[in-house]
Amino acid sequence: MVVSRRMSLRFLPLFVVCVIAIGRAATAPEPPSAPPADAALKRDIFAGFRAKEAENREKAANDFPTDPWSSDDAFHAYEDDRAQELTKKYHTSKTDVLAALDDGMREAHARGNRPMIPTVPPCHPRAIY
Amino acid sequence: MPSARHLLSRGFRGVQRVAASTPRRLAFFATLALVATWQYLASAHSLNTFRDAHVLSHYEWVARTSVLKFHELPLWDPYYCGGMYLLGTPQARFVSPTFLLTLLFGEPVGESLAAFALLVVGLEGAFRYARTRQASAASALLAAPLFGLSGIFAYSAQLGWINFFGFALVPWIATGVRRALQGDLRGAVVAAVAVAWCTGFGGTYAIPLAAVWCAFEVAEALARAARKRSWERARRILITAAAIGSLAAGLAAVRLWAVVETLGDAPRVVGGAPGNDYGAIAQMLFLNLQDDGPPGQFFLGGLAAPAVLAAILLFAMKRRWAALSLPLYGVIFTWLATGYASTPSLFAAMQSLPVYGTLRYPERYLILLALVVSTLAAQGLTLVTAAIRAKPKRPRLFGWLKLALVVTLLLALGPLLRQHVASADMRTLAPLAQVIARPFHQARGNRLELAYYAPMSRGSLSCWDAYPVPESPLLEGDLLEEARLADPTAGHVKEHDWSPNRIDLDVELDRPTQLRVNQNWHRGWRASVGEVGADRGLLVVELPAGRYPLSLRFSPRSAGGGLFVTLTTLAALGIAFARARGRGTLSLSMLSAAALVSPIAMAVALALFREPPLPVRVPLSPTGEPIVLDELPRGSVPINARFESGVHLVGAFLDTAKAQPKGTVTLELDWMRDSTIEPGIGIFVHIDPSKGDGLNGDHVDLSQALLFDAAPPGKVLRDLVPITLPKDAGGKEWKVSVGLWRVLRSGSRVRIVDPGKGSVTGDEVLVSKFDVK
Repeated sequence: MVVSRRMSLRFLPLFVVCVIAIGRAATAPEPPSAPPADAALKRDIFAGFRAKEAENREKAANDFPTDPWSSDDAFHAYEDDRAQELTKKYHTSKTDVLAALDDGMREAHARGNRPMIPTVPPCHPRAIY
Repeated sequence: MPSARHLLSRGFRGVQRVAASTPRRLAFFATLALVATWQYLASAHSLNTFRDAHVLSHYEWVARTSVLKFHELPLWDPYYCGGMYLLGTPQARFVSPTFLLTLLFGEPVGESLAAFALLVVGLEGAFRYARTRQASAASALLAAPLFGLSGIFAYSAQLGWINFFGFALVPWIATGVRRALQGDLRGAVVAAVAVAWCTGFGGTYAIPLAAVWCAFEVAEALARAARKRSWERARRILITAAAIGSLAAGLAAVRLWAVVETLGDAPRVVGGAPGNDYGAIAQMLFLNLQDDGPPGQFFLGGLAAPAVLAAILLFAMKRRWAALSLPLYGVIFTWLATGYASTPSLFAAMQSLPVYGTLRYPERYLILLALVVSTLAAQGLTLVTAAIRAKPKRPRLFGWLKLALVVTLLLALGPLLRQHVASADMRTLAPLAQVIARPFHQARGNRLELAYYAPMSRGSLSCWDAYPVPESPLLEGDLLEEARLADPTAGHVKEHDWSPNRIDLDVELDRPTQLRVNQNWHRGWRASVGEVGADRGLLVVELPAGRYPLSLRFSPRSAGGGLFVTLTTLAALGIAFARARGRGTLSLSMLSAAALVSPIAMAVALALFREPPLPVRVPLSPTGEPIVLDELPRGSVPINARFESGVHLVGAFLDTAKAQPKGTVTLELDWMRDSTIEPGIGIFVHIDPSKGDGLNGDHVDLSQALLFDAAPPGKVLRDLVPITLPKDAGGKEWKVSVGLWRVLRSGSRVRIVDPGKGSVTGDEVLVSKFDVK
């Protein structure tokens, strides 16, 4: 029992450092989150994506004219840039911006309209970067 | 007033006390790890926006959600690539004790705490490895940060490559192997456990590189035995090495089986001839980490140099040539790190081995160099301290030398820690993704923003990993129902319960039809009714008529079988240890018996855990066209050019119906291979206009589906290459030329030995000319 207590005390500094690490991580501040987007704003955001879809597809095809996966991946990089622009422009969260794109595509499909390509070429990372 | 020398002496005794006591030493290492990760911990509630961080944190998030929300094992990830085998994806890290941190604190906090914990593990591992090479405890303590805090750990944290912290286990693997080969067989268990942990933590580079280190240890031990002409000793070394391998594979089986199966189904193809000259390597080792580019990625700093040089000089002066094996390791790892920039290239030779051919970055061998440097620095300080005790002719010189080495090793901590702080500051952080609880649907998604999709109950079809994740081209990202009938008039189907590994539906059918689930097929999917199959990679079930509940569940043999092998091996080790406790030692026969259990358990698992036969795979292009034919397809113009690699271009055809600016034309190249071909051959395609910049269509697999190496000989192999023309393509004549090149080696072109009917210049065949109006 005495040995056990002595052992526990010897590990106390390690325990304290670990507690500090856990405490530091658990109490880390969260960056301020943006206000949620309402339905009207989400429609505007979707329109913002839709307006750039063809242009971004063309740029991506230019980047990788013979590789469908790479071209699609490049398109998503342009789409990502667009998502950043829209997040800043409308002062809303990235989640809401991406959800607006998804909801917009799904709602359009429900109306029998597919303004954006809903499929992707299968994953095919390049052999050489 | 105490002299400086007296203070040094007291200070060094303090270091000795800390080093000799495991609790104090661990507290010291934990303090270093805390300082290194302080910024990282302080931003634990933020999202690292780097693209790889999205993917790697996603795997951990899905594993946690599977366990805590759906109360099931993390086997299938429906949220990425249209569904993938989560346990089998090599870079996921959840089969590790650190997953407990994720379960307790959530993914982002768990990630930063895992980094902290593994830094401690790496520091202690480097300390222990140095001790196996006769370094004193105090010297090993001072030198351990050279590995444990080296640049790779700072750099990996910046990019979210948390699985690279698996390298912290490499010194434990090396320690275990070395101890076992020296006769302390408990080391075999340490090595096997470390390998299993590292495998479970996604050590895609760490395990193959650790295997190289282990091979060196075995070679070194065999050389010692051979020098003493002790063939019995050599026999024991080989048996011990085999036992470690078997135990490691057995303990890691729960993960290893799934990963091997995944990479067997979708092999990673790595091409090119990557290389680093010695200047670039020096920048990686000695310059501070930068926002972009290689400098500092494997930072060691220059302050270890005096201790390392002292070790090499003193070993040489004492003629302890065997001890110079470690510097030799360092030379070989540096040579490997130069990749193809050296002639001859050891890296190129390694690439001809299985697994090593899939490792793209030679510079990662510098991580092993860090362990060499850390150990040599500890040995250098130990040798100088021992020289003082031996009362040399010039004691003051050695005294000052010791002081210099201690001071430089302490000073080395500054730049090492600085890389971690700088690295944390280089990240771009964003608020965490918000959770939107709603029914699951596939979305088109975006792999660059992947971390946002699963929390909002959406899967991202946009997909990337380091290997070609099997993904159906039929997946759709805007469906209203994720499970549909091929013939909607045959009845109806309604989903009533969903989790990653299970989909429960109510089915009512007037006649048999096919159920199409908007996820990828995998051999692990089972159905309670009907027959599971794949339509171009899409999960489908052939259903009979009737009204019944249907349960689709994901239960692959490799998961159940792997778990069985791991638990059985663990039980065998437990029995061996219990018997060893009774006898006071773990004998080689007991260890070997435990090691034999792994392959036996594997055989039993293969017999017990049955899987339905795999459907016959017909190679198809992404557009669904067959690509293996008996004869040249109609329209293809015969060429019959023969390349020296054993591949022929038998015909070609260019569909120019859409030859207009921004239009896409499809080039068909019809190849045939002999029964024996040169491995690692790729295809280059040059599309050159009469004026302006040309296009490049170099690729490796035929129609993005079939490698030459895996293709059947004597058949026509169709290679369909879509070419999207630029907007300024009009008013030009375009020429399309093709040839073969060595992807996996020098990148050189393959010579054409017979042009056939082709027009050949410079080992490329002109296959088509067309005008764009």
